[in-house]
Amino acid sequence: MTDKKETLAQFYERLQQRVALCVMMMSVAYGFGTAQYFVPAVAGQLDTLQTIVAVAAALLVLPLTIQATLKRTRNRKACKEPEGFIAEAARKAGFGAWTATFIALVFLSAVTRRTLVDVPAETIVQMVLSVSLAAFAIAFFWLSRDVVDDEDEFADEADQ
Amino acid sequence: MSGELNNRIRVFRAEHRMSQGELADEIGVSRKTISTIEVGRFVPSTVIALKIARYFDAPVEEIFSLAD
Repeated sequence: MTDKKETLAQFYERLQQRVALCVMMMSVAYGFGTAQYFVPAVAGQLDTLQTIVAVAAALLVLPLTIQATLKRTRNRKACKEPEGFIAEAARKAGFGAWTATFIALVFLSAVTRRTLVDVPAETIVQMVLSVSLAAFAIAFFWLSRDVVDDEDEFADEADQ
Repeated sequence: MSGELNNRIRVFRAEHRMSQGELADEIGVSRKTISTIEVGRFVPSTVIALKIARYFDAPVEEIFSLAD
């Protein structure tokens, strides 16, 4: 199979998948931030881990974001596939994340009245962010997963 | 009427001896978008449906139809 030039639609699909991966990493980073309160003995290490994961996520998404900005600047009319399958998966995942955030907030507002009264607001915020971002990433990866009957019968012919 | 959307993209592609990737390139979407439309996993927007119909030079209802 020959190496074909990546189309804009493929590029934006790759960008959205990379963003979702970074969202998952940020969820883990916020998870480390939350854990610092509950496991103070290793708070220092968790803080370092949180920084490392957050920086790695930023480095992972930054090159593609710069590329996307350049592509957009060079060709404003370029197709960004705003209505494609992956964009739809991202929209649905966003709705799932909103729902998860709402449920997490309702749950935490009930729990923090009786238990966890002394938990700082920063920890609560990090906890909710972690849940929200994880919900987005998991929903996105699930919705955009490959299916078995995903075949392209004339692909070989096209490559010749 | 169930509201499920049937499509004949695979038939039209076969007639044109065209891969999913080629059709995707022609209408400016990713191959995954075409493959998920074909298997009924993704309901395309009106814009994508019209682009596909225009490419095959066929009325949109000849390619997409509602299941009975």
